Amino acid sequence: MYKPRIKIELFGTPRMVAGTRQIEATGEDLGTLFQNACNKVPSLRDHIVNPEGTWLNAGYTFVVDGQFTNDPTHYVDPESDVLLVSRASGG
Amino acid sequence: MHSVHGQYLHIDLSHGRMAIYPIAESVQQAFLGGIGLGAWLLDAWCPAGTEPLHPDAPLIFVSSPFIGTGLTTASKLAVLARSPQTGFIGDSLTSSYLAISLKRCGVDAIVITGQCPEWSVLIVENQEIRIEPAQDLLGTSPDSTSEQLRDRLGKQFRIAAIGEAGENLVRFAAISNDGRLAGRTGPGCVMGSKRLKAMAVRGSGRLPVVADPETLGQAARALSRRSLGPETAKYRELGTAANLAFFNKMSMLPSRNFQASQLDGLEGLHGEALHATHRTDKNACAACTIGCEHHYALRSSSGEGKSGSTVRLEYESLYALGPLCGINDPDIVLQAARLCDDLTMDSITTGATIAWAMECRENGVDLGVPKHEIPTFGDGDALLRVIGEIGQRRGLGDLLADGSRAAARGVGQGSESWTLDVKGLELPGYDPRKLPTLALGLAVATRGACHNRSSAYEVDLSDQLAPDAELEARVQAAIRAEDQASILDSLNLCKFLRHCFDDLPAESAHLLEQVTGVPADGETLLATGERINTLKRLFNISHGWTRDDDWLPSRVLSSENSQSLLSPDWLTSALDIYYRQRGCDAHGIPTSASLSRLQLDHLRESASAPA
Ligand code: SF4
Repeated sequence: MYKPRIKIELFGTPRMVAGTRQIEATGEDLGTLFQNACNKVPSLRDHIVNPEGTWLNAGYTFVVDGQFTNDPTHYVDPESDVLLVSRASGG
Repeated sequence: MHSVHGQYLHIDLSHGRMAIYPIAESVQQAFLGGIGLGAWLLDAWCPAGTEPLHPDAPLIFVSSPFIGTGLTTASKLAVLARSPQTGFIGDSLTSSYLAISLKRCGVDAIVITGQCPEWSVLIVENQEIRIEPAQDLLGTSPDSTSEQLRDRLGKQFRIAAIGEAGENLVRFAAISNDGRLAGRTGPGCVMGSKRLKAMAVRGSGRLPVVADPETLGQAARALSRRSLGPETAKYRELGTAANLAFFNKMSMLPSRNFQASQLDGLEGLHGEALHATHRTDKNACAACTIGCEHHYALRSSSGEGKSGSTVRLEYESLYALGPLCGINDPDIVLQAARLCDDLTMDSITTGATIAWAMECRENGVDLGVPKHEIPTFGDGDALLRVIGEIGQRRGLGDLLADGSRAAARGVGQGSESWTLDVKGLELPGYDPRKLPTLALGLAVATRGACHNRSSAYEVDLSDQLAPDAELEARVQAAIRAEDQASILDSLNLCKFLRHCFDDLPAESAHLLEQVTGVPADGETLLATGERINTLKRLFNISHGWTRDDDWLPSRVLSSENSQSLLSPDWLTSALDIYYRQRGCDAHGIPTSASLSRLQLDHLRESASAPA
């Protein structure tokens, strides 16, 4: 079955540990997309995944089409603008 | 109350005298320490009509109950004065071993008034003072001043010093200690007006004991462990410079004096890129386990290194000296940041005032100097030249040394409409047009446009509130952010620690109880935050504040930016709700019922300065 690929643009620590500005993975929701991205770039897993290995830890968030979201069921498609960023807390 | 001394030191520089005054326990419970206690002292020592640079105006340094307790990041020193830049409250925090040294002197604060007859160093050794000439230190950077004084006096002394900007009464001059700045609102200018080049402090007394050392020890160790977790990874790994690429992507990066919210060609300035190309090492403030201070190599634009020279760079300096001035050359930005540190002035106001001058040039405004001396957007060499001129009040720098608002008022010609400030303090690097909760926070912040006294941007940069949330809810979130910031600022904890708490007010209250022995819970601590914010508002009201001062710059409220979420009507409604929720009348004045609920009526009365 055809699985559309979705681009995830990385910022901050995710960009540093992945060693790239962008990765592509498949998934219809953020949860699946996230797991597939981590399978593709295992170094991400060491830094940004929660202790249960299921989702982002407290330091990171997704932004989909300009909206901040930490909801793994959030729908995404190839048109979505998906960013993975370090959470902002000052500067 | 444990972990405080219950007294402060007053030093009169004009007469070389000192005195110790008690602080009632009710005051310490009501205002904690840091900015809170400092606001109470400032209110007492700086009555209406006291001009910021008059010898009678106080310059205040304050510690907190948390300092010296082993709690990570609790080494902040609060510095307060009536701001010569805004005319309102000027409060800054800086991390420093000086904070610990001050507390070891057996006092919770130092209040300095008067003016030295000649340039001097104030030496505070426990509870004795002496004043020595400092003519030989004039023109030197704080780092060099500090080195010379510590060679002369002994390494146990900790130094707060001004650079040339403070000596020349640049209105946004800072005070430096241990390489960190009490940066905003111009405390270095107040110190300069007192002809005080530096203050050297040595405290050798014991720190006051905490109420429950065993429980506190466990809590402190747990907090230190948590401070090394994912909540602070961004700061440890990349530093605040990491904000730039993301903000640019989100069109939240003020550029070219807020004419744009995004700029092309900034890849070299991205925190991730700087890390790879320029980063040398990192450091931590006193008593901090996080260590967010990243250092970068200084090179000329042709790539030559100045052997071993590095500079500390935060996002705010990167924004103000980079995209705000249309600069994308990392070497220029790093040199500019270093110049600001050496001259010791606020890099946000420096960059923003120069960006205003750049726009003046674009519009043919006469700034009283030949046109070619006014910098243009993107001209890095001119940026460096003008920073030097500001620090020394030479040429165009003399006009710009008063900040953008005062400069625009001086030259007129329509240039007032492109100053980006609130109450005379220039905006930080978060474009409020896309961040409405922050926009309100900036408008009402008592020290002017400041992201640190409110932190309301967190609401906008998260999923806490839906974009179309009711305005009531947005205002409520802004108020909570303000009160939480006041708690941290009065316990003298670093803001970067705040995500290490699941419930900041409740967990801070537990720590406070373990430290002081005074029962506390989250609700009472939030009320303390509210009391402190209200007191700061009352101070401003005494010094001429009106509702019109809680207003945003015309450029961010205008419809010229199609992505803006703001308008004058929006801000008027938000302010109406804010004042109501804060217990103020429609003019923004706290009602007598609010003052009584917060006990500010009698706490303020008890604050009159000893004669
Ligand atoms: S986190 Fe950074 S700013 Fe805060 S105390 Fe530590 S080193 Fe200083």
